[in-house]
Amino acid sequence: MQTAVLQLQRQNIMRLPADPSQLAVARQFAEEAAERFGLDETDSYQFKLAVSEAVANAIEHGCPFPDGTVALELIEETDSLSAEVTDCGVFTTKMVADQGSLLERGRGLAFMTVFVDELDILRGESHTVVRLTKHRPGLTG
Amino acid sequence: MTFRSDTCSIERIRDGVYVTGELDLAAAPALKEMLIEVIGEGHLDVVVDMTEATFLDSTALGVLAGRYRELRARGGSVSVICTNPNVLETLEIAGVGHALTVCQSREELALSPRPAA
Repeated sequence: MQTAVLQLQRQNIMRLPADPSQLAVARQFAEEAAERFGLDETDSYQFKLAVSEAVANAIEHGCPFPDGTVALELIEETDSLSAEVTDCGVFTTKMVADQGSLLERGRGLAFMTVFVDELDILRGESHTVVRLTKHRPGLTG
Repeated sequence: MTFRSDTCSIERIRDGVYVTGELDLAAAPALKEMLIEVIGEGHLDVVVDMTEATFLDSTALGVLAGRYRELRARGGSVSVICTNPNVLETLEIAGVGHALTVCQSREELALSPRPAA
């Protein structure tokens, strides 16, 4: 049974230097996975944008691993495609601003919320995982 | 001033900037600096030509919103020229469509009324 479950999943993980110049690398990684998964052009863009925002948050507000990187893992399952962005920082609500305001910063989380089907923030004592999930088109919930 | 990276270039035009590629956290500081330069030259109606832009993240959008706030107080405006449907959706969802003047071409912009302050 365990073997069968594993065969349904395809995992990809990359470690990115915690530098804004790496966001384009993260986006390409996410977009390729989204297209492989079968998302259409609009959904692929939305997934890519949400991943870019999560990685940008980790780079700007989080804390990199000791080797100076943050982690991006893409998890392809039968019904969904997820991205997990992990850094060693502790997530705080200070990063959140009102959506639609004209403030200059703080829209990243709102963008993530809007552009994926599920957003989970797992706060550990020494790390934060932001998990973004798009469901396969045609599926609900 | 011109900004160039592997994925984005920002060039000065008379009343604003012309963007090619992806506007993200890496490009946002240059975008901000160049728009401040444009405003500093006395332009109150600033144009961000994104005809060839393919991506806009929240940080770059925040730069546009910030310049709008700055110019609104002086009776000015920020106009965005954009045809990319994904970028247009981002502008709409972010709720800044009422503030920025969003057009598909220079010609449309010339005919466009300014948004209410």
